[in-house]
Amino acid sequence: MSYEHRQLTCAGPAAGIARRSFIAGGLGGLLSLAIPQWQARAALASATEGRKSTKPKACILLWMNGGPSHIDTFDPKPGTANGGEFKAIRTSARDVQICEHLPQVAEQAKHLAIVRSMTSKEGNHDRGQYLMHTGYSPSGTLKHPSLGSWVSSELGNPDFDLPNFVSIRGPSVGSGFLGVQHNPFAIQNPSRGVRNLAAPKDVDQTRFAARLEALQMLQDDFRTVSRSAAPANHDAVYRKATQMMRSPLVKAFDIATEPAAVQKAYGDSDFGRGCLMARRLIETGVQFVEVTLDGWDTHIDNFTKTSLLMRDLDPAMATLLRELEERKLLDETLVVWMGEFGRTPTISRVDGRDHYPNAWSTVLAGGGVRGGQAYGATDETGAKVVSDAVTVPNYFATLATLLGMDPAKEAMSPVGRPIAISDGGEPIRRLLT
Amino acid sequence: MNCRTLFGMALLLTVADTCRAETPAIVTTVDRQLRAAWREQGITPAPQVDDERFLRRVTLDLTGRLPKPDDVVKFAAETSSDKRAAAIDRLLASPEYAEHWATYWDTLLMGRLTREGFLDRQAFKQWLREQFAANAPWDAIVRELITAEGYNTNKRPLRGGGPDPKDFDERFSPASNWFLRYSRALPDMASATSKLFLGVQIQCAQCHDHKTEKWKQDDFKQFAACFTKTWPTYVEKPAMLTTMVGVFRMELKDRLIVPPVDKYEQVFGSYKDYVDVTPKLLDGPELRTWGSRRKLVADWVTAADNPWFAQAIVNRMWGKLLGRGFVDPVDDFRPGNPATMPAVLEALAGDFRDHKYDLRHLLRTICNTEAYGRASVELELGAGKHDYWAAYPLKALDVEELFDAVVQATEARAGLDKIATNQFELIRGSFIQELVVQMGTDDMAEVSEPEETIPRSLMMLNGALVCGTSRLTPGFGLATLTKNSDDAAVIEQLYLRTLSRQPTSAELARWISFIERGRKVVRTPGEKLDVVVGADAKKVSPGIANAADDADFTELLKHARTAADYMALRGKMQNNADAALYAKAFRAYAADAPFQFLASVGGGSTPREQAYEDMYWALLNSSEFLSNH
Repeated sequence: MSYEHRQLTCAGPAAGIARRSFIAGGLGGLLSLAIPQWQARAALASATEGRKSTKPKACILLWMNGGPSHIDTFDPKPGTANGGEFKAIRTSARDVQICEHLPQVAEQAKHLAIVRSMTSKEGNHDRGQYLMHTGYSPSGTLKHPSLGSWVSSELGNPDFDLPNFVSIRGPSVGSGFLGVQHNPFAIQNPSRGVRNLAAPKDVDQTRFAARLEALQMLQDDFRTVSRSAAPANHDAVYRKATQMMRSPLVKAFDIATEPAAVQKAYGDSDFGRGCLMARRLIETGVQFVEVTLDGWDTHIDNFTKTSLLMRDLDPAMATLLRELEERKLLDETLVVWMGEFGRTPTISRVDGRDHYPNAWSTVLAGGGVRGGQAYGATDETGAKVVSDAVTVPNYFATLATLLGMDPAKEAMSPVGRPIAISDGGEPIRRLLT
Repeated sequence: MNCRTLFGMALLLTVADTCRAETPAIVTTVDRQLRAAWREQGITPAPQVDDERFLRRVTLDLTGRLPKPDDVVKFAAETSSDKRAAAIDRLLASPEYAEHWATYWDTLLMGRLTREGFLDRQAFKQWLREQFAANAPWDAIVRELITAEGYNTNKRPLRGGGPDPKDFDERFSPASNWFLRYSRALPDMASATSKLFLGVQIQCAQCHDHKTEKWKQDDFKQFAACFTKTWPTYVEKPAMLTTMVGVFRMELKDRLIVPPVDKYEQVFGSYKDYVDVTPKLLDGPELRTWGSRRKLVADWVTAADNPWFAQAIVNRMWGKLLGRGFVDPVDDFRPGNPATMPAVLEALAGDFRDHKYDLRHLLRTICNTEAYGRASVELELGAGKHDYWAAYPLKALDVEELFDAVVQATEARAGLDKIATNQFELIRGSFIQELVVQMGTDDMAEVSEPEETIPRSLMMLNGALVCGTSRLTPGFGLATLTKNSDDAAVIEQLYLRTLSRQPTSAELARWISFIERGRKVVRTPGEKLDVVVGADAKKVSPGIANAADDADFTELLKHARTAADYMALRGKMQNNADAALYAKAFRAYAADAPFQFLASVGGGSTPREQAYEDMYWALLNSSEFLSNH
């Protein structure tokens, strides 16, 4: 597909409410929603030039919720006692083998940097998820921002019609002290797009305007009585929401307009559809998209479950990488595959593998990653890192560097302590080009 | 109530009617000190709040519900001088009180989204409900949470077998679910104990020593070590797991040894760092004992001379009701973060101790203070200046309160019950979950400050719950109301239902002109509630109705479309794996179907009817409705 096609899908007829009714309204507060200049510019720029001309890098995080087994995915140990029942296959990267259930991803391996030497200390889901989203262990009072929120805050355009951080099939981790505007915007079902974006059938533009007018009366009354700023804040968020309702850019959430062949290539799964939506959002100018594939917590029946998960993962991840490359977006889009930890080398009595933060794998691609390599290694059982151990701070410093952010960049937290993107880590040079 | 004990039985009948609500003596002390502070700080306090607004406020605070329209009218008309105190007592004794505080503590203790195979969340919530309904003393509740031993669930296995069924009830200990939540995260258990019950944050010391803070890494480790000899085991053998339903039965027990962490490192992940450490209480002695130390922890936490225990809960409740604790944030007691008006905090804490940790007494005290009865207005103070509670705050409704308020204000409960037969809790749960997920908050956030976000706004502006229940359709609140042709009466009623007050004459006049002005009717084919539910929900799909007895459950689930399908499938589960699949599929169905129905329900068909729908909608979207003030 060409850029021309994108123009059509992104700048199609305005969704939801027509602008006219808002401009004509002119009733102050909620109704004075004349379109500011910047918004028209943003829409125009995005529709005509796409991401091509914009500088900041974007990121797609493929979040494997529950903690995927490294041995059964990207760090295979065939023929060993605990290697499990899967075979390893060759890939397009020299001397790099991965699990047989990822044949399409194997073809894309020239783009991949498989990090086989992750090591961390959080073996609990909540804590591990927090750690791998924020780069910090949870610590009570202080809520650290997730990587997506940092990207939204550092690289996103605050005037953009759409949220700069979208999370598909989350929940993700929030923006912490960076503020609600950098919270992930959650999409629960990619087939349905953004929930509640259009007014119900029985509310047309005129009626919607009448509703806002009625609401405005109530807000004015309450402002007088309470003398508080709260009603104004409420109005501000509502203005932003109605602004999104009528933005042409929301078309990016509508994957049904994609050709059938493209939809099919991503696979018939919510994760596949999420990856397709992620590609469309990145094209439109969204800075960070997280797509969750849940179910990796395979304490029982690991091999059946893992192979089913890879059936969804393989076409989705491979097609995403292929399409990003075809559209010349891969160099400026970092794709990250990871979960909160790996899984035990030992296989339990109920054919399960349990939580294992000691040694595990993640995968990076695009965005200036040096592809075609496996970085670091575990021992023959997959239990210990034997070379080039990657700590969480160094890992986050690498991600930040790849995205064009300074890992040492700090923001002031409410407790008066500056917090950096990476907790004192150094980027790993051999993962960068 | 207290009067009964003061007067003899002979007087009971005559006294019962005239029994005056009693204002706790401590209230006078608090009022006096606050008034002095206002004087000293040169703060002009907000005026007294009017009766209608007081009733809405206190009803929301104590029960999480809105007052009923009739009660608002009655209350405003009542002339007795102690009617506010009497209303407080009435609310404290209501069943909604127990429900509300069970929800509050369930969220705090267990998180909104936490779902694990070995947690029986329903049993835990029910236990909380019983504690608050019986007004169990706070120290007893905390003791039980810290020391609970036994089975997490009393659910029966699907196909029999396993341990003696009489054990299921005898050894049932619903409170143990709280400890189980942390069974793979021991340090979080220690942090939660300290933070929730003592208001002391020690978790920062988990990772590093902080120069200026009291708690060091060793303190943290030693405190966490107090919990290492308590760990769960599966009750049913692994082979039996497949016959369980829904929840894995775990037995939590204090033991003589630490768990075999080397062998089961994955299960007991973070125990390893703590097993060789000498257990020690915060600011207390080392615990050199055999076996579990949890009882000693509970003794120390709830001891009368523990400096934090009573203060922590008093501060938390004061903060919850009045917007800000003496210590703020409410769970951050430390020398570097001193209390505002520590003498008041200590007086309240002492009184709470003297009243045997009676939570109703504590809430009754707070609600009877002068500060609580002030209007909610923004005072003009210097920037960053503390208001010394001279005005009631403006608090956004919590997600649970929000859902309940919409359903209550639109009188939609009966209609929603029809949509999903007896699955109201599921509708509620799925709405709350969506709101929480869409707010982008994670489970670690515990009870997060409700923040306004775009997805939440879209949910209120266009979502099926608000737009559906505000439609004029039989089963929801507007249908019977608009039969009354007196617009003033209808508008009054809508105000009472949503804002719990009468409109002013200016408001009334404006709404009358809004309703009466000409408008085009939007014609959309909608369905009646009864039709929607009647036609579809009760039909069992052929794929399920005609299935063989030994049909594969995964295949069967694919055919499930209607509520009747899910009812039928309940009888076809073979094992725990099926039960897990069923639970997941049914949750997804329940999260979606009612809202689909709601979106397709038809509405008003005349200009007047649609004008009222718009007004209802606007009321539900207004700041006045969406906050407690």
